[in-house]
Amino acid sequence: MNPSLISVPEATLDLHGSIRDALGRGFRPLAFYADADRSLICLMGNDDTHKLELMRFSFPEGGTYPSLTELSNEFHMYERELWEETGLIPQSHPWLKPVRYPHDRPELILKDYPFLTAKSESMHEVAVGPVHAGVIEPGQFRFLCEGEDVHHLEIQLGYQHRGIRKLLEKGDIRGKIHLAEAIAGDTAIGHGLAYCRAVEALCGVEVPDAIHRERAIALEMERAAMHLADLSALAGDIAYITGMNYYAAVRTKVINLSLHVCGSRFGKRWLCPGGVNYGIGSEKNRYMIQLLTTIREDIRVMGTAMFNDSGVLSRFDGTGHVTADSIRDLHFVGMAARSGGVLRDARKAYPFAPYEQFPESIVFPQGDVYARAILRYKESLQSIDFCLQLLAELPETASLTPKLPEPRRDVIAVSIVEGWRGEIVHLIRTDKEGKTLSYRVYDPSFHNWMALALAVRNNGISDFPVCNKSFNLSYCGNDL
Amino acid sequence: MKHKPMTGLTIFDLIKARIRHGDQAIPDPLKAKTDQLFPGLPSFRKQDDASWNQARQSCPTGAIGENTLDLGRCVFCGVCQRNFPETFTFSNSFKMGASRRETLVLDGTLAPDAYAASSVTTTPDIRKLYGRSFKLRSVSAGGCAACELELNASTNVNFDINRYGIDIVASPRHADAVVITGPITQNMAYALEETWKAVPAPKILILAGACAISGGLFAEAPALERDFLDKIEAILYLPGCPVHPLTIVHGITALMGRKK
Amino acid sequence: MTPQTMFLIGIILLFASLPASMFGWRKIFTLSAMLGAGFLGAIAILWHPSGDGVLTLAAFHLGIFPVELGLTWLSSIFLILLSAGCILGLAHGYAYLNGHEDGLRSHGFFLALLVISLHLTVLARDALMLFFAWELMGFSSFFAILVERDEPTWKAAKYYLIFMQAGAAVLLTGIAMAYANTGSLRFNDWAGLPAITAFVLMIGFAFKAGFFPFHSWLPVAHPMAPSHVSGMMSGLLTKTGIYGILMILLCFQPPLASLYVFGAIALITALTGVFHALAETDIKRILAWSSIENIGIIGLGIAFAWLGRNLNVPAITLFGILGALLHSINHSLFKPMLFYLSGNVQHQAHERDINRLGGLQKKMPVTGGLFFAGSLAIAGLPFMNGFVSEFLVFLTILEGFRVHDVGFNIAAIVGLSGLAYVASIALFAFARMYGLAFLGEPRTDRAAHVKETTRSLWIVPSILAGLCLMGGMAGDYMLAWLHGFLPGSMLGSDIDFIKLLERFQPFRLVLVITLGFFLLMFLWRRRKVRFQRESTWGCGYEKPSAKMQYTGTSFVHPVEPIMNMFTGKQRELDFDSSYFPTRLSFVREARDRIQKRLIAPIVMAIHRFLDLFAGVQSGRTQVYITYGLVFLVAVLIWVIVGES
Repeated sequence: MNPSLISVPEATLDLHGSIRDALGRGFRPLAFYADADRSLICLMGNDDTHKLELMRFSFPEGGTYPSLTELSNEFHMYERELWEETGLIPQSHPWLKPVRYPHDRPELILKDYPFLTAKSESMHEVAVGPVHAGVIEPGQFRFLCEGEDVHHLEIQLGYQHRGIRKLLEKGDIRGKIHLAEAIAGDTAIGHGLAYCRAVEALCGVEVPDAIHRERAIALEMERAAMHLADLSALAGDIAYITGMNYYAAVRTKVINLSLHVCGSRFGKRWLCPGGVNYGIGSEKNRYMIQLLTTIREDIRVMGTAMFNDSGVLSRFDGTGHVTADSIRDLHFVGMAARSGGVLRDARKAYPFAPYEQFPESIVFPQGDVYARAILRYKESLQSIDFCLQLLAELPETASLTPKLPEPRRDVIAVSIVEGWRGEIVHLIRTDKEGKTLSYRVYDPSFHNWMALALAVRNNGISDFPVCNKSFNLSYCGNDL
Repeated sequence: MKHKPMTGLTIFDLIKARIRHGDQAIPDPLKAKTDQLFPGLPSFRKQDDASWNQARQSCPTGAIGENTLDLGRCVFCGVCQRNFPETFTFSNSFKMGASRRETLVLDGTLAPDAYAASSVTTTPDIRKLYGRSFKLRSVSAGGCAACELELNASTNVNFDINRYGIDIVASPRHADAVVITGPITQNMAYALEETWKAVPAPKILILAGACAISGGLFAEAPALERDFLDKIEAILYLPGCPVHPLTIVHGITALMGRKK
Repeated sequence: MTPQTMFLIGIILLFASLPASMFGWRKIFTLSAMLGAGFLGAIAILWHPSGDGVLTLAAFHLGIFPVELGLTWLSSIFLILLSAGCILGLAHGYAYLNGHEDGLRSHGFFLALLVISLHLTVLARDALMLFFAWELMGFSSFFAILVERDEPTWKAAKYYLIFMQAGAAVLLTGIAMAYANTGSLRFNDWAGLPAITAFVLMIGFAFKAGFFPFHSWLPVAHPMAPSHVSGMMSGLLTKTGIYGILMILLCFQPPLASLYVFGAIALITALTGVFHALAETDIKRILAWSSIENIGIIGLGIAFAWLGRNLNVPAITLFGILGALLHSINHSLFKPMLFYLSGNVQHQAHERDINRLGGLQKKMPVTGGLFFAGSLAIAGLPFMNGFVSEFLVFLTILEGFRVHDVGFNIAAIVGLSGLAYVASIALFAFARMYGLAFLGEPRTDRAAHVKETTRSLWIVPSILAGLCLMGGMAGDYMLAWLHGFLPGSMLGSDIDFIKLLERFQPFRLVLVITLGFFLLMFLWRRRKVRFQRESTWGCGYEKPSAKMQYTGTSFVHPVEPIMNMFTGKQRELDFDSSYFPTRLSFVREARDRIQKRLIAPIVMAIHRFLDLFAGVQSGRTQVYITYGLVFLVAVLIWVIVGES
């Protein structure tokens, strides 16, 4: 069930046994962290059976425990985060390095990040960031290069860390939609929806079917808009200027449609827990159908030209390759997985209301920049098709902003939303008085930054920009 | 090559796309009309203390003061407007940029046109130095990256800020101004200082978005370090959450003293 | 004063420096050697013979062999080159070894011997004297290398000695053959040598010049010698090889095919040299390889000059010979200069690897500036002399397109494109060396703590830099002067060279104006502008390191595929390419394939053979006296047996 309201289970001791068992049954970790009451919580999901399992373990004694990463590399980021937040050391973790240098661990010094360095006088390092050349978020990229070839890329983040989880945990959980939308501004709908659904589960509110549909429209419009933005950026990076300007203009049309519905180009303030702030009336509906139909054709016309162009293909093809094995091993999610032959789509794996009607997810097997680019192209078409399908059946909706009841006590609410990058997982734990004990956010970027690092290996450093844009990962979603 | 081009005539597809693309540039961004729903410069009339205080309570960033509304804090979420449509209205005017922080604290009396006419002031020095060519270096320092996307969008084919001689440059060495987006996190504080130092004088500071101006939604966040703004005073404030590209275009061109 | 008296004074002064060095009177030794070299050089300037004449300076008999010392037009040019080079080298050596007073008496002795032998080589008018000087040069330079008596130096010196002896053996064979052919050891009687004899002699000389495949001693020996010796070896010693080759070429009519082969060898030499210079990371080794490259360019000029002679195109001959001679002179200016400066760097940083240097320009502004000037010169850029001579070699080959001869045209195309390639890679290599060693940030502590050297170590490089600049700005005067040396047989009857040179006057004007502009800009910057100094923009990162700069290896990565054809690919990457790598090490080394596969095994074999006799050396005087006794007895027996 998604979203789920789960009563807090009893803490057990057998961390390794339980997780090994769940992994054996085809589950994958969706969240693993130390809760505020010093117990370890692990959310596992099975994409095939659509089942979620929440496990709780008592905090290991003595400050160390045998690393779960030994069991499965899928845990490597979770354990790094766990170590960073609590100081709990996973023994024999292969890469125990800070994730985001949080404000409450001042003993971790940002500038002392233990980068892998080459024991070589003939190799040079390229250090980029935190202030990049473009208008992008900050992060430090360290390339180990033999001339123009990259052997290794290591990415150190944390510059965007502003402590948003602390803000989400403080005060009434029901009034945090604005913050949730600002977890990652380019995924305002994705994170906003994940928040809304978690809070609705927590407060026991049922949302009408029409509202679910409208929210799905918002989510798919965001997906299409961001895919178009990245197609534009990818085209720009390979000096395919027509593609760059064309897709930028089409993206403007999509986000201006969002502006037309809710007053924000990013869909901020569209959603609210329990409903939506802005409905879609019949006139707007008609206008949206009309415009989205044109946009769909716009996207198709350029895509036909772009993805048949030998110049474009020669730059995309085989660049920034990520293998299906590494996708499974390291738990890459969403678009990054689907472009590498691994079907991971929360819309199908953990579906909610209108997504039962959603067609097959698009998967490309190649795992290179080409696959990620054409996946974006196909998905943007698919999203607009789905919007049109929903709009056609959508009854007239109006603003719905109910006053929510008090949150349930001592429970964990889980919601999973497939944002345009991949699955967004929000978990809210309340204590015995109904106050928020912890708010956990997992942006797909948290997992997928590693995919970018792997993609760049053995590529020319000049291919880094296209690799980067093909993923377009969120810094703030990782840094929180 | 693994993926063979499907036709040899892609140039015709490209021409087709180019024709379909047409002319997307907004002819004059300063005279552009925004959507009906776009929350621009707000105006308000205090009805009664009870509703005002209620609105004050519900504001996520505390932008509503005793008798004022602070554009530098406002995230344009529309909560006050939806709850108290009598008191708060948002016009469609995107011309919200201001040269002084105090200007952003509205008392509700100024009409959008009057505000736009006086809010951004230029000086002969600025006009002489940057009037025809103005290079910006962006520093993203926390926040949610929406302002960064809008800053990028201001250079795209629609808004095309480059037409005014404004450009966002890769190195601070080439820049005339630093544009900060985001609330300035502890982890970014050093890099921001370095960037400012790396810009050759004369240089000016621009703050884009509610986060940069006041901390916005993150004003209470535990990991901010906004000391930099105590040392350097900004010369242009661009409100919004995120700041709209048209607001950027208007604010910066007005600062450059370009004839309307 | 007659040239003969002057010669006598010069020789006496030179020989006087030997005992002076042994007494440890460094000033007297250096002065008398410099003066001696100066007197000898002055003879060539004042009384150089015109045409094909010979100026005899001394003639006597050594036993049954007549010995003659004298000057021709060719040896006059080389004598000037050598004596000027020796004077400056001695002066720099004096400054360089200041403070190492002890234990260097023998070094001074061998340095003086080297100077004497260099002069005698070009003064010799007969094969016996030449061979004597040749061997003296080999041995004295061997001992001059050995200032540091550590293992690597010792090994390099031995390698060098074996190589030189191999070359001498070939030369001796050639001399014997020539004696058999002509019945005389006097060069004047050698006209019309058979081709095969001439080739053997030329190969003998090619060892010293450093032509492919006899080049591999240079990068071994030069780095180990103290830098004034490496400078003299690279700038002067190799030129005696060029002198020898030119002298032999004047003695016979080389067949056309052999000239094409010679040209091809020269081009391969240049390419091998320049690509190795690009691949190496040791400054002195880079300079040594670049010497090989320059020898190749000189060789190319010579080859085309004689091709032109064979095909009766006087313009090509004239341009070619002038290009080769001028480049020899120029190379003997900028190469020692760079070696001397690299010595300054080594002196301060105790390091010569560009991957471990960096940022020296800020710490050593004068050395850095002079090094930059030297790099400009050696890369053949305008303002400096390297440009003029390389340009002349280019012109020589370009002239080849006017000749109606398909083979020659093909040679011209190959030569021109090859030379263009060499020139561009040389620019790349020296941009790399200067950029990595002097710009950026220091890569190691050693490089971080250098200071500018004492003024005495700038003097000679500054003089050389001035000469290089003069050679670049007034290259046409230099050419006109050189033209005056050439005999009629070399001069093109169909061109007025001096008139041709006048066409370059406007070019000089452009150079002067540009140079003046740069100078003005430099002065204006110093006076007017106040600087805001900030550290290099590092994307706002808090902890940049010196590793975040291009290394010598990274710099050449884009041309590696082509470079590998000449240098071989020596690459070791140790990277656990797992998801979470913890180990990454990488080594890229350039190795001379010819040296490794062909030469080194031979040298090692000789070495091993000689080691068989190591037991004979006990170090005890008594044993040596016994050897003498045994030898005497053996001779006695041989004489008695022979009598009966």
